[in-house]
Amino acid sequence: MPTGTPGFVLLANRSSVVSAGPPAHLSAATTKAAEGLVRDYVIRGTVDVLLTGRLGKGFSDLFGPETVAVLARPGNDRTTVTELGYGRSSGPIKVRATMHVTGLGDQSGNIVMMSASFKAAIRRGELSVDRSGELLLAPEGFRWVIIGYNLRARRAIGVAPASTTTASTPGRKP
Amino acid sequence: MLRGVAALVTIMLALTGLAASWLAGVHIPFVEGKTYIAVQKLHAAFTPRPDGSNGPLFIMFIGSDLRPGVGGARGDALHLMGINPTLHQATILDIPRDTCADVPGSGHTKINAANEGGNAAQQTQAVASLVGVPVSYAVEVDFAGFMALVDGVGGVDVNIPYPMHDSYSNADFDPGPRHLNGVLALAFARDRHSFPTSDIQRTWDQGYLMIAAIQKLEKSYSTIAGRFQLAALMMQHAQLSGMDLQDLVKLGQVADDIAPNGIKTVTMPSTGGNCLTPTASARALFADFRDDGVLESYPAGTPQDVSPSP
Repeated sequence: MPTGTPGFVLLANRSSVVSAGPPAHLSAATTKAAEGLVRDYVIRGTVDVLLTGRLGKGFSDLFGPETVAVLARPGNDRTTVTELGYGRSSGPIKVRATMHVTGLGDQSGNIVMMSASFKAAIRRGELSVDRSGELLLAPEGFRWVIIGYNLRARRAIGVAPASTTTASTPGRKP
Repeated sequence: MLRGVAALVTIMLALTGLAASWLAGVHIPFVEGKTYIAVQKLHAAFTPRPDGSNGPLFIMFIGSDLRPGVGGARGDALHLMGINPTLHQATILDIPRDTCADVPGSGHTKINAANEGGNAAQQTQAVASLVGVPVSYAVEVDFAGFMALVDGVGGVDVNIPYPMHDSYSNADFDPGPRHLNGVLALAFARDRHSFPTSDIQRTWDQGYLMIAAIQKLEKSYSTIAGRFQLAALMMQHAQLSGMDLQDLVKLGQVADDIAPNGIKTVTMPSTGGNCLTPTASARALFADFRDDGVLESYPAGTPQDVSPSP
C-alpha cells in the first residue's frame, strides 16, 4: 500500500502554535508536511510490515540520523515504533487516523519544531493495532523529519487479550 | 516515567542561595522582556559509550544573588546534576557555597567567588574541576527569574519537613504540605537561619525544591507540546549561548526520560568553617558520581533523598 492510498483516512486535523516570540503561523505547507510524516510513518512502519513483513521503502528517511540509529538496534523502541516482530495476518487493511499539530515558534516567529499528536487505528481481519502518541518533528535541510517520539502501541487479535508497549525518545544529543 | 520535565525550566525553579535580609517585605516586580536566565552550552552533551548509547550528562545550575542595588553576582546556590538516560536516573549534587576550591584566576578561594561579575562558565569550571566531571551546560538564574518561573508554572507543592521561621528570608512555614508561589518558594530556598547547619541545610533544601518542581512539571506538562509551552515560557526571559530553542527542547527530552523516583539529591560532605573542604567520603562520592552520573550510595550522615509530595 503506497503512501496516500484510499486505505488511509485522516479523519481530522487540528493545529495550534506556541511561540517564544511574536505570533507565529503554521503554513499550509508546513502542516501538510506534518500530516505526510504521520501518514508515511504509519504506513511504512505498520501497514507495510503487516503486508510484507518488512518496513516500507524509505522508512528511515522519515527520521533524523540519531533516531534512525536507535531504531536500527533491536529492542523495545524498535518493536514499539514499528510493527516488526509481530504477526502479519491477512485481508484488506484499513487505517483511520486523527492528529493534532502543534508548532513551536522561535523568538523571530519562525516555526522551528512541531509536535504531531496522533491516534491511528489499523485493522486487518481480526488483527487490530492502535498507535497513539506524539512525534517530535524538526526541519532538516528543506524537509521535516522525526527526531523524537513518545509512542504507545496496542495490539490485539480477535478476543485474545491485547498487548501494549510504549517507547519514548531517550536522551538524545542536544 | 517522568513526563514533561523540561529539565531546564524545572531545575531553575529551585535555585537560589541568598544573603541575609534582602527581600524582607519586598515585592520584586516581574519586568516583561527582561532576561533573568542564562543558559550556556559548554561541552559536547554526551560522551558516547562503546555500545553506542549515551553516557551521562552533567548540567550546572547556579543561583545568582544578582539583584537590584547590589553589586557583583555570586553563585550562592550551586547544584550539579548528573543525568543518566540509560538508567533513567539523575542525581543532584549540592555544593555548599562556602566550599573552597581552585578558581581560575583567583587561586584557592571560596567557590562562589568564581561567579563574580556573572561568569557562569568560570563558576562551572571551578565546580567541574572540584568534582572531576565534564559539564555540558551551565544554567544561571537570579532572584526575579526564580520567582517568575515558579509563578509561571503555577507554583510548586512541597512537604515541609521542619519548622522554618526566619525573618531574614521571610520563611514562615510549619511542617506539612504547602503550595508555594514564587515569593514563598524563594523564602524557602533562602532560609538558613532556621537550622543549626545553616547553609548546608539550605543547600539541601534547594535540592529538595528542585525535585518538587520536577514533580509539578511532570503533572502539568506531560507531552511534547507541553514542553513547547515550557520552552516558550522560558524563552521570554532567557538568554541562550551556544545553543538554540531546538536544543532547549531536546534537552528537555533528556530529562523527560528520568523516572520520578530515580532522582536523588545529596549535599557534598564537607569539613571546616568558613572555608569548607570536601571530606574523604566526598571524594568517594565524586568518583561514584563521575562514573555514570548517578550515586549508588551516600556517605553516612549526609542529608539525602527527599519525597516532596505528601
